[in-house]
Amino acid sequence: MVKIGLENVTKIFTKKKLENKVLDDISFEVADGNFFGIIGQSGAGKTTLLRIIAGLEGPTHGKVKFDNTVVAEEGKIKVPIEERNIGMVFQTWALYPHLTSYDNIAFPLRAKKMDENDIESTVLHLAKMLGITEILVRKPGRISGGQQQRVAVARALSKSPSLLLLDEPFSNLDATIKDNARSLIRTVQKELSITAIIVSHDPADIFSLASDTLAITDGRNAQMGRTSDLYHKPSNLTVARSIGEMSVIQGLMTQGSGKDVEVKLGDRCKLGFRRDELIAIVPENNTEVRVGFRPESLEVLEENNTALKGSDYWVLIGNGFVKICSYSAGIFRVLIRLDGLDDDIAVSSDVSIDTDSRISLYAKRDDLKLFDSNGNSMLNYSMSLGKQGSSNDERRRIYAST
Amino acid sequence: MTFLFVVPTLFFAAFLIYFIIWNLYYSFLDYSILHAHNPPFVGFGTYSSVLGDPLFVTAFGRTMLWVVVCLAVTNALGILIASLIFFLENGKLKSVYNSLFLYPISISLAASAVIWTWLYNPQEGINSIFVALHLPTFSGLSSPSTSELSLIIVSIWIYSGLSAIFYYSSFQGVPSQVIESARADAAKAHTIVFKILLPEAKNAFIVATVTIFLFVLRMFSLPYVATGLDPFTMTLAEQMFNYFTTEFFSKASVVSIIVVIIAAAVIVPYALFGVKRWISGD
Amino acid sequence: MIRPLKIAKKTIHHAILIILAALWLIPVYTMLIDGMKSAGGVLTTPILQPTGLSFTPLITVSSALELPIVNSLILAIATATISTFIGALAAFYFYKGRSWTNNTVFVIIAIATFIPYQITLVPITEILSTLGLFNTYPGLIFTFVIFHLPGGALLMTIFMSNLPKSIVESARADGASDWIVFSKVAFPLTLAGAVSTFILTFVEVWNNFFIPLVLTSTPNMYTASISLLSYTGGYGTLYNDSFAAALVASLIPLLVFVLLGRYFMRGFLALGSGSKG
Ligand SMILES: Nc1ncnc2c1ncn2[C@@H]1O[C@H](COP(=O)(O)OP(=O)(O)OP(=O)(O)O)[C@@H](O)[C@H]1O
Ligand SMILES: [Mg+2]
Repeated sequence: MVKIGLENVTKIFTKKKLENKVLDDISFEVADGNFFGIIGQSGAGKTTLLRIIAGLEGPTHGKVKFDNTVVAEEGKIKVPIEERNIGMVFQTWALYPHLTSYDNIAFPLRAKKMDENDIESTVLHLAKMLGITEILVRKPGRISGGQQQRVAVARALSKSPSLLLLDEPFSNLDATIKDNARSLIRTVQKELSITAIIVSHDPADIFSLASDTLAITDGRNAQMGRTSDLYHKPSNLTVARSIGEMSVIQGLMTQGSGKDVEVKLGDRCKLGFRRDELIAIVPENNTEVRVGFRPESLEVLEENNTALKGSDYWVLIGNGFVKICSYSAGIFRVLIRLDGLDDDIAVSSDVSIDTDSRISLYAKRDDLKLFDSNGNSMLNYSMSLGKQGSSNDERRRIYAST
Repeated sequence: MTFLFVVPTLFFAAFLIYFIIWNLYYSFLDYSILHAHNPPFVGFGTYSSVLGDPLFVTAFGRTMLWVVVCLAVTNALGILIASLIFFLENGKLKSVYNSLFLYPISISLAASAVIWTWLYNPQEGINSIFVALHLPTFSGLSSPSTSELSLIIVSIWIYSGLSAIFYYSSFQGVPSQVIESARADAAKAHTIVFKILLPEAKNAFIVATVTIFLFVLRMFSLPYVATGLDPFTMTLAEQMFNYFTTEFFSKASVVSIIVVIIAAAVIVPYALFGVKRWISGD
Repeated sequence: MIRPLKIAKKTIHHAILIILAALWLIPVYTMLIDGMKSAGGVLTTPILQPTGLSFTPLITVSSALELPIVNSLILAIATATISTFIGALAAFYFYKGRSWTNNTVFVIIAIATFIPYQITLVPITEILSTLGLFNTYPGLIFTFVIFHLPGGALLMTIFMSNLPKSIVESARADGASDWIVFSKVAFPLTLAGAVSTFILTFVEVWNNFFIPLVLTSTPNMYTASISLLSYTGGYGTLYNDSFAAALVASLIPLLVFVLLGRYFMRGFLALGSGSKG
C-alpha cells in the first residue's frame, strides 16, 4: 500500500571518533504490494538498512521515501517511526512480557485510541487468521516460540500497516515449523496486499517469500534483481554464496585456440569457454580464476564410469572420494574431496553414496559459474541464459545407466 | 520531546548546583553573626580562619581516622562474612545471614546511637559483664580516650553487612565450575577465597569502599545523638553544624566546600567508572 | 579419616557465623527485652539480662511518638513516591538517547546522588525561610526530594537499562507516543526496580536526622528519628524508655527490611555493581 524508495543511502556510525561506514550508497525501490528481500552475511548491514526504513535510525546521507514523501534525509528523520504506519517483527519478537497476547495485539490499536469494540473484532479476526485464538489470554512467557512469533506478526498487522518489516523473523524457530510460519506470512501478505520487506541471511526465507532481492556485502549493493536471478546469475561469489551453497575450485585461465579460452582445473580437467560467453574484459594468459558449482549442477558417478563421457551437457571435473554423505528432506548432500585439491565440494544427490568410495565428479557445463580472483563474475549471463539447466529427467537417466 | 522527561529532575538538580555555588560564594565572604547584613568579601580569609581553628582541625583529623579505620575493618569483616556465607550449602540460610548482617543499615543512626549509648553504659551495659568476669573494663562513651573508638565500633556494626553483600554478590559472579573444579583439586577454602574469589572482587572492594567512605564522611547523627556536640567526638559534619548554630555561616560554607571537594575527589572517578556498568544494558 | 575432619570444619564454620550473628543481634535483642522491662525491672537488672514483661514503656513511648511517626510516614512516602516517579521519567530519557550530552547529565546526576546533604545547610535554611516553607511538610519534602531524586534517577536508570531495546522500539513502531511507551511499557517492566528505589528512598528519608533537625523547630513537625533526641539517656531517662523509643522509631523500617529485604538489597547492589549485581 506504499511504495518505498531509497536513494543513495549511506550510514556511518561514529564511535570514539572512529567512523564505521555500515551502508554505502544503497538505492532501490520496492513497488507497492511487493515482497522484497534483503540478504547478506552477518554484519553486512541488513538490520541497519531495515532500521533506516523503519525510522529507528536516520541515514547519514541519502533519502528514504514512502510513496512521494521524503521521510528521512541527510541524517534527519522527518517522519518518525510512530507516524510511518509500519508493522515490525523483530528477530526476538520483542513481545511485551507483562501483557497478554490479546493486549499485545491490541497495543497498537490502543495507542491509536481505537474504540474497544473495534479493537476486539480486529484482534479476534487476526487471531483466527493466524490460529492463535486459544492463547489470547496467555502472556508471552507461557506460549510456544511458534505462537509467540504469530502473536508478533498479529501485533505488527493489527493496525493495518502499509508496510511490514521483518528482521530475521524465523531464525528463532525450530526448523520443523519454519515453513509453516513462512507460508503464513506469505498468505497474510497476499491477502492484505501489503508492501513487505524481509531481512535474512537464510536463502530459504528469501526464496520462499521475496520476489525481488537486494544482496548486500559490506554495506554495498552487491546485486539487486529477481530472487531467482541472484541465484542463477550472481554478479560475484559473495552474492552467489549468500543466496545458496556454492563450491569453488581454483583454476588457471589460458588462451585457447581461436576465439576460445580454457580454464584448467587440476591436471585432468579443461573447460572451454567461448569469448562471447565472457564479459568484455579478456583476461591475460595464466590468470587465476575460480569456478563455482551449485550442488544440484554436479553429478557423482562411480570412478571410471563412462556413462557421461561425450555428453554435451556434462564435463568431468576430476576423480576423488566421498568424505561424508548426509541427508536432508529427500536429498543427500555429498561432500567430495577431489584428488590433488584441498577444498570440499558439495553435491546434492538423489541416492546415498558410501563414505570413502571412489567417484568421478561431473558438472553441468552450462551451470558453471566463473569468477575472477576478486570474486567478480566473468560470465556474460545473457549468452548462457538460454541453455540454463538440463532437465532432471536426463540426470536421473544418466545416473541410472551407470 | 523526550527532553521533557528529564526536566523535573533537572529542576531539582539545579537547586543542588545552586547550593554548591551559594556555598562557594559565601565561603569567600565573612557572613556571620558579626556581619549579618552586607557581609564583606574576605577572599580566602574565612578559609584560613577555619583551617586555623583547632576544633576544625581535630574534627577533620578525627573524621579521616574514622574513615580509615571503618573502611579497613568493614572491608575485612565484609570479606570474612561474605566468605563464610558463600560456603554455606543451604540457600535459605545464606539469605537469612545476609539480611542478618545488613539489618543495622535499615535502622536510623539516631536509634542506633540511643541503643549503643546504653550498651556502652559502664554500670548497666556490656561493661557489666566484663566487671562480673573480672576482665579489663571498657569505659565506652564516658571517657574521651575511648569515646571515638566506641562510635567507630557502632559504624562498623552498621556498615559491615553492606560491605559483605557487595563481596558476596561478586563472589557469586564467579562461575560455579571454576569453584567446583578447584574443590575437585582439593583446594582449601582459604585458597579458594584468596586465589579465586578475591581477585574477582575488585569491583566489590571499590563499591564498598566508596559507599562506606561517603557514609562516614557525612557522619553526623550517630555522634550527635550519642554525645551531643562533644569536642572529643565531633566530626566534620558536626563541626559544620556547630559553626551554623553559632551563626558563623561563612565558616559553615567553608566546611561544606571542603567536604564537597573531598567527596568529589572520590565520587567523580567513581561515577565515571560506574557509568558503564550502570547503564550498559541488554 | 577425612569425615571427622570435615565435620569439625563444618562445625567451626557454623560456630563462627553463629557467634558473629549473635554479636550483630545484641542491639535488637536489648532493644526488645529492655523496651519491655518495667520501671522496677530496669533498676534491678543490667541491660543484657531479661526480666518480666511490661508493655508500659512501649505504650507511653508510642503515644509520645505518634505524631513524629505520622510525620515520618508522610515525609518518607511523599519523597519516595516523587523521587521514584520523577527518577523513572529521567531514566526513560537516559534510556532513549545515548548522546554525549545525555551521558554528561547522567554523570552529574550520579555525582549528585552521593553528595553529602549537609553541605546545603546554610542555603536551604535561607531559601525555605524566604519562601515561608520552614517547618512545613512541603519545605521538608522539597528538600528531601532535592537530595533523593538524583539517587532515584540513578537507580531507575540502572534498572531500566536492563529493558531490551527492541521492546521499546517495537512500542514506537506500534505507534505509541513517548508517554505511552513510558507508562504502558517501560515503567511496568521496571516495576521491581521502582519498588527497590521506593524502599531505599523511604528508609533513607525515615532515618534522616540532619534535615529535619535543621528545618524543623516545633515539636509537632518532629520526625521519628529527631524525637529520639529526648531519649538519649540524659539525666533521669530510664533505659526501658530509651529502648522502647528506639524500637518504636525503627519498627517501620525494620518491618520494611524484613518483609521486602530482597528489594532493599537489590537497590544497594544496583548502586554498587549495576542492575545485574
Ligand atoms: N548502533 C550502532 N553503532 C555502531 N555500530 C553499529 C550499530 N549498529 C550496527 N553497527 C555495526 O554495523 C554493522 C552492520 O550491522 P547490522 O546489524 O546491520 O548487520 P546485519 O547484517 O543485520 O548482521 P546480522 O546478520 O548479524 O544481524 C556491524 O558491523 C555492526 O557492528
Ligand atoms: Mg541483523
